[in-house]
Amino acid sequence: MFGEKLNPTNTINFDDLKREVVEKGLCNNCGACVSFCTASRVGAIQMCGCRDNIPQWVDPHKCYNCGICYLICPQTEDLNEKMREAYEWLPPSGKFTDVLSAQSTDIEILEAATDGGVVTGLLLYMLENNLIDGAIVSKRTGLFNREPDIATTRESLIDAAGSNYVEAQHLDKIGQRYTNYVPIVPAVQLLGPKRSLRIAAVGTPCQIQAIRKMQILNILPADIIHFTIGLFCMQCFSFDNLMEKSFIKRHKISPADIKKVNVKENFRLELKSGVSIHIPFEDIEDIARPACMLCKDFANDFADISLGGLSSPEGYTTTVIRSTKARKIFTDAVNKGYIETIDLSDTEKDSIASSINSFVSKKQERAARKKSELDNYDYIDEIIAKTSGEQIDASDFAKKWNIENACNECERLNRHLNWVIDFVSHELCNTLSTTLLNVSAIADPAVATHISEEKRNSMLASAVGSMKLMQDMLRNYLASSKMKGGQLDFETSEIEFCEDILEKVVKRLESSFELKKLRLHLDCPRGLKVLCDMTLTRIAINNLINNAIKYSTPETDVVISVSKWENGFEFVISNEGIGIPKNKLREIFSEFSRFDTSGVVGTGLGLFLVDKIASMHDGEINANAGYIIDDEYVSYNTIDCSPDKYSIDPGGEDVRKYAVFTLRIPGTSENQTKN
Amino acid sequence: MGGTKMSEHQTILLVDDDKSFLEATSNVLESVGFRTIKASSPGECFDIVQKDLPDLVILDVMMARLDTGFEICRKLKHEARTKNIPILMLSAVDKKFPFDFKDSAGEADWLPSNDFLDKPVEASELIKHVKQLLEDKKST
Repeated sequence: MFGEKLNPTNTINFDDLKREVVEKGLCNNCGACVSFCTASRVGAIQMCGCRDNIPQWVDPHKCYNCGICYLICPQTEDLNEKMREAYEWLPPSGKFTDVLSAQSTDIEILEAATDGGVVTGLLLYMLENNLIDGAIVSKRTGLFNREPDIATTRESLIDAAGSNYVEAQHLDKIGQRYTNYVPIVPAVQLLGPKRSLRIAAVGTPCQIQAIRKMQILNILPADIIHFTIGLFCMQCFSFDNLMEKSFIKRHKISPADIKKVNVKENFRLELKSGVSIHIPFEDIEDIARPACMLCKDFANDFADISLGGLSSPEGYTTTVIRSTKARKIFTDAVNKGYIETIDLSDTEKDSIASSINSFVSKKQERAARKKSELDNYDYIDEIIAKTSGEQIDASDFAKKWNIENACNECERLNRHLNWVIDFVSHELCNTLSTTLLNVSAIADPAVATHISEEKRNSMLASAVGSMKLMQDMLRNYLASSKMKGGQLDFETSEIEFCEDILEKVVKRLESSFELKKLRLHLDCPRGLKVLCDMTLTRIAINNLINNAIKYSTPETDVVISVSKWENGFEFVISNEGIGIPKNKLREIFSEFSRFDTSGVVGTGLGLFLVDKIASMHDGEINANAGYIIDDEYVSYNTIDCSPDKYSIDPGGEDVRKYAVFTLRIPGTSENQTKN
Repeated sequence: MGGTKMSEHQTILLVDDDKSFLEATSNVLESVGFRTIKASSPGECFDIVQKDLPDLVILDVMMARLDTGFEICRKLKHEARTKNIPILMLSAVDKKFPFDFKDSAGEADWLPSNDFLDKPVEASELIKHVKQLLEDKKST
């Protein structure tokens, strides 16, 4: 396995990244860690999808402890020396062969661009001359909002050009908090399996560093990135902070007044009235992203070519050519008329380089200062003071940073807790409603006298079914809570799987099968002895069968087959119904994950517990799904491999879908007790 | 089946995405002589009212979305053909809203329902409210 080669001690994993970077508020949200984990089909971590969009564990058991997520993070330093060697880095701003002022010759690009449109001009040249198949760019989606996109046409490149902002939108969308920052690395995933493509990436220094680290390790998905265009970057700005904090009031600006935002020697806002406001970077550190405060890379030292507005005349882009490849591409783009340059003397070039270096120094000094503040500050007392309502002096960077992070985390946990209470109470309430309505009708003589015996029996059966469902929900919730508190008992013993577990669960759920008129096909060898925790295994089997019943189309087949597997068993259950979306095959095992809840009562804990119970037994649970074509189960993978063979309209009325779960519990060689 | 004279031939449309609850509600109301029609989605609900105008609608609040029931309620009350049908809303979601939405019940633009009941509800209570709403309708 790749991880073992790179990290023979097997000691680094996402926990280290979480502790050293994420929990300290230093995550750049570049998504490199998640991109690798996803592209290599490990699937142990994912971006949280919350407001801060940080990476989080999705399934620690899938982690190979390869440590790659840690190594490729732009905030960790283990690969920095290797990266400097590989790109022949020289102080203070990396290796470069030329500095120029340039602009695109294309009027349309110039109109859309913030400076000289060289980024778009270069990409267009490469695209039209078949040097790349596409470019990862940040597409404008609102006033301060952008999202990553793969541009493969002139139109989509021009669409992504510049930083002009044209319309207002909510600012709290996931992954769109920072104006000049868009998580481009995960965008490679948009390309799916087309791994032979040649892609150019445009990014901030942290993003380009993440790509370079991935390329040094020769790992997915950076293999398809053939050219990197780096943007100068002092810091990324949080525009929700821009709105919320004193900045807007101080400068008496309404967001609707802003026409254009640019970053040159300072932070610039061009208003619709024609007024231009220039603000020193020092004055807007309070709206900058904390992670940027420790970054030392201003000039995008590891890109093939670095670009920005600094020190060039209005309408021109300062261009730093670094690699041989960049030299050739840039020269050819000029020769073919895509880009033109200003004829600069050596003194003028030195002046631009010197200006860049002064910003490099500023950024490096700031990073050293902030690092020292962070290392030397004990913030716990301040958090206690804040939470007890005392006024604190939060002028210090580290104080603000850490207190805000801690408070945000508390807020997040509170929200989560409220949601859990709300969710569980609502689901329980619904189930209780069915029971109460049925039972109270039978118990009320004024109503009951009009109910036939047949109807009364059916109402009682429905009430019993609802109570069983409620019992399952409560048991799942309690088991999940105990598991988190480390109080879930685990004790293996030898049992007969069919007699002691499967038949009892099926008997218990018999009425639910009948209510939906489902046909159960059971293939389980009697006398199959397995070593497992009987209580937990029963919960897992119950949840899997219950899940199949809940999501099955009425009057269809549910097929269960059990066979011996290692010292234990393999349990496979398939059903026809709503199926499982292709991109949810792992997510459904996450806590509270419910992708289609309409009309189906549940807590989102059933499959989560099955996964945990499988892990406790050193076993595994897998989900697969697809379509039923001519009564044959055809998985998404099979369809992907032979797209010409199958023609499916996923939204079509006649489309039949299936889901299949395979639980493998290897058993144990001797009785075990865990807690 | 027997029941009061008033409920004979009167039709109640039940809208809820929980099929077990739909079945239970239907059983209870049919036992006292109402005819019921069941819909488990907004689409089904609107299809039904196009063909067959019910005398009353019992509507769950939270279905596909938190406020699906509100939307159905507004739509029914804003259409000339259906605006006089009394609507009884059943809800288990009050804690999910940052305000007490029942305070707004009856407001034409926001929540023009005629009555509310919290889930879980007992059969006799449900029947009482249904009958009261139909009486009110008759007297207007």
